[in-house]
Amino acid sequence: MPTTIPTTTSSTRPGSPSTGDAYFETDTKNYIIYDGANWRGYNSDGLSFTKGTQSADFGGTNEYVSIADSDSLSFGNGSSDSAFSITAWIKPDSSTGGFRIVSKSDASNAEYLFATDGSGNLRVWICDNTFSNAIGKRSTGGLTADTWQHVAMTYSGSGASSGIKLYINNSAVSLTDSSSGSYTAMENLSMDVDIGRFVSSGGTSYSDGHMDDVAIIGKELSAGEVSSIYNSNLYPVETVSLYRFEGNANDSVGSNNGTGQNSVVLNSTDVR
Amino acid sequence: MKTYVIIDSSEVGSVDFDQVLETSAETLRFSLDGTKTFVKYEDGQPSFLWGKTEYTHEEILEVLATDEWTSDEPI
Repeated sequence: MPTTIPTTTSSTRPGSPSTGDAYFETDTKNYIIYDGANWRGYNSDGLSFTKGTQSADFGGTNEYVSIADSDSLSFGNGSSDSAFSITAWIKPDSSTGGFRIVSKSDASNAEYLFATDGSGNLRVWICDNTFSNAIGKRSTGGLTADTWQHVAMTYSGSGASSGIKLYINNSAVSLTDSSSGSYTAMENLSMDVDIGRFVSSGGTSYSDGHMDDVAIIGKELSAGEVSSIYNSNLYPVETVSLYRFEGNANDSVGSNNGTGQNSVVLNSTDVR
Repeated sequence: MKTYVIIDSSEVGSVDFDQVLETSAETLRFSLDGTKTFVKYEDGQPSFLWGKTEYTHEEILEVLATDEWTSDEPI
């Protein structure tokens, strides 16, 4: 006699579950089980993590996490791009200072930047060597200071800004095109990836606030996959690197361990 | 509580990175014209920084927000 698991959706989960309650989510195709404190998501082809107890605290002066260059962190070859996505939980201390989430750039060249600008807009740049030749999108506001928010950028690898989507707290947001110059594809360059810092020809800027569960994923996330990450800490198998900041900047999925620079706090107890 | 001191870039060679919270000379943040940088510490001013003006976190953030340290680029 087969057992039928009750169904739910990621937006209609029971509000007062009991430990051990299990459901099949029809929209995400995940099995979810309540462990007494959080929903745990399971999928035959996903990576599930328990919500952590620590985060990274960036002071806004010169603190950041550096990750050594790796081909696995580049998504272009000069002729064409491959799809990728970045997701993170962020808590900016201010809505007016730009908040740098993930960047791969130096004073001369760039591959990508996921950040907020000084107006509280979420932005992404995907660069053909420089920010002068880039495809980009930005939200109109949508972010709040001193509040934990989940943000995601997805890119189809199409070489066009129409392939970029942004999500804030599990909802796709309307976007304005911010492309510049001409764009063919990203190059596979040799600069480090930074979390919490952005280096450009105009100088270097830093994040002031907290970040947690920063993921670099080698595919264009669907809305359902963004939902799985947001609701269940369930990441697709194409996840390249995940930084959970549980006392260190290690990569929980791949081998791209990060290094905390200038005494960035990697064990803050301020968590979502 | 962290305390911050601004120094001339020419003084970086005399910084004892065992006594400050910065990792190394390679990770320092410099002013846009490259002439200044800063270091921070928690347990009393290191001797090689004696006589320098000290800033709190709030004060250094105000300094770093000026045109001397932060570009007016839209991002």
